[in-house]
Amino acid sequence: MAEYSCLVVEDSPMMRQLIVFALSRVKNVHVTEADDGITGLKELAAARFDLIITDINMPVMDGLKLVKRVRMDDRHKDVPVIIITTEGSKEDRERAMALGASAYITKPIQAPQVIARVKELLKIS
Amino acid sequence: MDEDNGDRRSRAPASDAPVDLRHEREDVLRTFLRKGIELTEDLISDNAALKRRVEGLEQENATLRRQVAHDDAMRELLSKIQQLEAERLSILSRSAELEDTTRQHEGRHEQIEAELNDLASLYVASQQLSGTLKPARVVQHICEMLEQLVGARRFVLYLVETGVTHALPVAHIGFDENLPRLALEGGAIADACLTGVDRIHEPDEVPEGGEPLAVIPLVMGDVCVAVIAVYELLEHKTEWATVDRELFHLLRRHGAIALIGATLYHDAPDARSVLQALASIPVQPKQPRRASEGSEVQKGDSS
Repeated sequence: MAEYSCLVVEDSPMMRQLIVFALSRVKNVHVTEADDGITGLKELAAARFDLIITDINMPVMDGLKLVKRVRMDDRHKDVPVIIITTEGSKEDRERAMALGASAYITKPIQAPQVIARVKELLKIS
Repeated sequence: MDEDNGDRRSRAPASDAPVDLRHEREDVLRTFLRKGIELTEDLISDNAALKRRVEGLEQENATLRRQVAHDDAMRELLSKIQQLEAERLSILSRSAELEDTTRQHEGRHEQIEAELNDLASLYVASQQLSGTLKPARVVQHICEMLEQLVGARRFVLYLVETGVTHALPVAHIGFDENLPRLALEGGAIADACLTGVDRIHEPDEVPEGGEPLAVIPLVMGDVCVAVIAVYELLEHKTEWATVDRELFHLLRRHGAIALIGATLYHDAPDARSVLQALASIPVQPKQPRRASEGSEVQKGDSS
């Protein structure tokens, strides 16, 4: 059975823990955590990932910049990216999608919503 | 006289009979013969008609026999159809039962998923809240719980000053300006600080006088040490979820303890010094309780 590696970039430890909890319920998905965009980029430089989940509002480097950098990186330009956003921040969401994000999840996040998106993008039945 | 005539006719040779008689006899004979022929022809005709009738009856009989055989087969088929129809209805009924059971299981599955999600949120919130001894981090976690888990867009965390006369805003989200110290002279926040009872409006209700949508006092025992005032939720959040009320309950009970614990630790020179208070608690020597003692106690209790 295929194994998948997923990078979660989120500055809020609470949200990160909730996303990791949701991903732990998808079989064969291994999670790496990063608390801002720069740490996320370091992880991306060190390993190959099958999926990236990132928050938009983060210190140091926000999610939009991260998505842009990921799409410029030959190794990860085709990797699906899920952005986490609030329902109100429509502009940010549209910008992220225009930059190449694959899907979005709105806060407050629900584990079934995360699981469904991850399975859809990783093509796990 | 007739006998005499008859005798004479039979005895007299034809050639000797008078011509009239001979003709008459021939006529009679011809008539007789014709009648015989006609009778025979009638008999033949009747016979042929009877034969046809018999054949017709035989055919009819055969048809009726076939019909009877066909009816038997039909009855058998009808019986089979009825049986199959009964089986079909039974299968349909069973299928409907199974679909109903599946729907119930799906509903239960969704319910369990939702409960699991709620428990995960509560677990994460509780762990984060009690996982730090830095006051600023406790405040940050409380704000994250409200913002990320509940979906609050505009809220304030106040510390209640001794005497419950004023509340000091220590964190707020969604306000452009710095908030002033709040005099607890009346209103939902003052009531919550005094009574320790929370006040939660439905999200679609607009409280009068700019009062908060939800006021959650953070209490330690009977003392309210802080209070959360939620003024606005995220646009798409139209109702409180069950987990929101559980999170408020968690904040109400554990928020105060986390704030007090972290502040006490912050003021202490190191972790060991905080635990020095335990040294002053007199240790009571205790013998391990035997199982039989436990059961006797239980018996005594029940009697």
